[in-house]
Amino acid sequence: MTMRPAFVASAWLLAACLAALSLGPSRIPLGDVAAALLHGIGLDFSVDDRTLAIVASLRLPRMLLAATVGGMLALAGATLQGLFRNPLADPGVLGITGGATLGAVAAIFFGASAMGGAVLPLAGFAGALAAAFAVDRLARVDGRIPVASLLLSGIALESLSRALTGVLIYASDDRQLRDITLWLLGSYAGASWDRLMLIAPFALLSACALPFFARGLDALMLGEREAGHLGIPVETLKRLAVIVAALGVGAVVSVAGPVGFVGLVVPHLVRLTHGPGHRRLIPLAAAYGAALSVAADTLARILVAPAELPVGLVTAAIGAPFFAFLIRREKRRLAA
Amino acid sequence: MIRATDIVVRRAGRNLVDGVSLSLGEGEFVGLLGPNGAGKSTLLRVLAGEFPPEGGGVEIDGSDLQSWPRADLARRRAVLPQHAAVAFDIDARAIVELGRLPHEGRSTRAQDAQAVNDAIDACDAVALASRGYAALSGGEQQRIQLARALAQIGDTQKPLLLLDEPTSSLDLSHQHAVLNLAKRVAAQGGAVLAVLHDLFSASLHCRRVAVLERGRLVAHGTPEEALTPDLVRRVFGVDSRWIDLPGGQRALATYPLAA
Repeated sequence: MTMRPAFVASAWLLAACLAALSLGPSRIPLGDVAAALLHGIGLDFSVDDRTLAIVASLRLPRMLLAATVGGMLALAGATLQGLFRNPLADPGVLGITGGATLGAVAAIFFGASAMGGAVLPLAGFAGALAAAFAVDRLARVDGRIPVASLLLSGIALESLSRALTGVLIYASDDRQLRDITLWLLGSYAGASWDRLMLIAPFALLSACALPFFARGLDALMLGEREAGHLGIPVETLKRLAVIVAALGVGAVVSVAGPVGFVGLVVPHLVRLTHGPGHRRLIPLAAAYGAALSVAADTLARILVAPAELPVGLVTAAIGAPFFAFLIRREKRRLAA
Repeated sequence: MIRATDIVVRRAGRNLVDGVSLSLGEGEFVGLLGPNGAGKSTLLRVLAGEFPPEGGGVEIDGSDLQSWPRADLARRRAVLPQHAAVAFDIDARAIVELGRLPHEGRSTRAQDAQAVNDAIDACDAVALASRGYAALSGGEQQRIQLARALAQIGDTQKPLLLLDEPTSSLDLSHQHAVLNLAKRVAAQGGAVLAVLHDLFSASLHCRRVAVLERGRLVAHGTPEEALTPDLVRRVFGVDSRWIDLPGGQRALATYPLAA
């Protein structure tokens, strides 16, 4: 990757992060944000308690969560699209999001709110992994996993999870219904250092592993057989990439809910502007996914302050028109 | 260089390839001929190491193909597929560059660029390289794919090149150019096996031809030995005649069966 795209992406991400720390119902000047951050890492900077509490205990973990979720979803989206050679693939298509949703909704239904912080994410995570393994089993033919069968299995599983989720929603009482609906819209409102620490290892592991698939994914652009001819162990690549993506997506969805559009749109934006090579696409998608997610969450917090919007609504509201604009601009190239 | 012995490929109770033995030595350009469904592409895929056959085995340099490390094999042999759709919008040159993937960490940037440029040059694709692959015509895509295969084995000693209908979408001059290119790869110590449909081109350019019919090898030898009018009529359902070309070459012309 040449320096410039990486630099531009980092600049956007940094700007989004600073805005997220500074903006909100109570606006904190950037100087104070910096002071609070430096104070937080043990340097001798004076900052009043209220500012410190807002920046270090509320906004910073929330910003990091938003960045982790957005980056992870975009990363997984880029990987899965490359893996399936299909620009419409995203974690939802594989049943991973559906599995995580079912797990989380079941947890709420059976009273997770009363059981404390970790239960909900763990349930969502378990649902995502179960879905990934089920899809893997369902799709396998003679030890191989043909992409068509993988996609169809994913769609079948996604529908099944959605139906079961529907059953739970139908059987919920009013309070459960509200919790479930809020979770389904996607929100970073539950962010805390504890939750962040809960998902960070999985997301980090996944984020560190996925770029290693870039070479194989580049070869896969030519086709599966062709990638094999180039010495890529295609079946191993498919299984590993799906599991690693499920790990990361399951973790982030379980905490934040199914935040829409980031996983689908961000890789496309990067592809349209920087070409389809995965060595560049994967890190850039992660950076822009994180930036979009952080920016969307900031908007979600300030648009109707002191209340806040579910972030999923904002990502969809920003993402969809921008996407439409890009498709329009690139129409000729896409049609070719 | 490559030796296939008694290859059997069975699918759904049918033998797609039925006890075929075939070997290629250094410097050889062999045409694999036969009507549709004769098992040519299947045999090629077995030789490429895509899957182990149900019977028989393939050796390269005396070692079993299935025991060759993937990466070593990828640096030694390249395959031109029959249909090549590429996912996502990508420049033609980037496709050719993907051919260098197996050499990553072993060759320098300059060597890679050299191999890519030479391959693009050899396939008369310089003008195509900067265009989007998806926007190219079928024949142009085929030349880019061939360039990708050449880039893969461009600086390999004794390369093996497997071509599945390399000329199917090409105009006439490029058909001959590609087959001349195959001859050149063979002449430099490589071995080339090409699935071909046009008996004229095959008889003109190949040193040896192998004819498959319903999975069996029914003729094998120099074009003049193998492609007798009787065999061509029986296997391909056309009449044929060897004709003299300017420059002392001979080739097989085919025409519909006399009623």
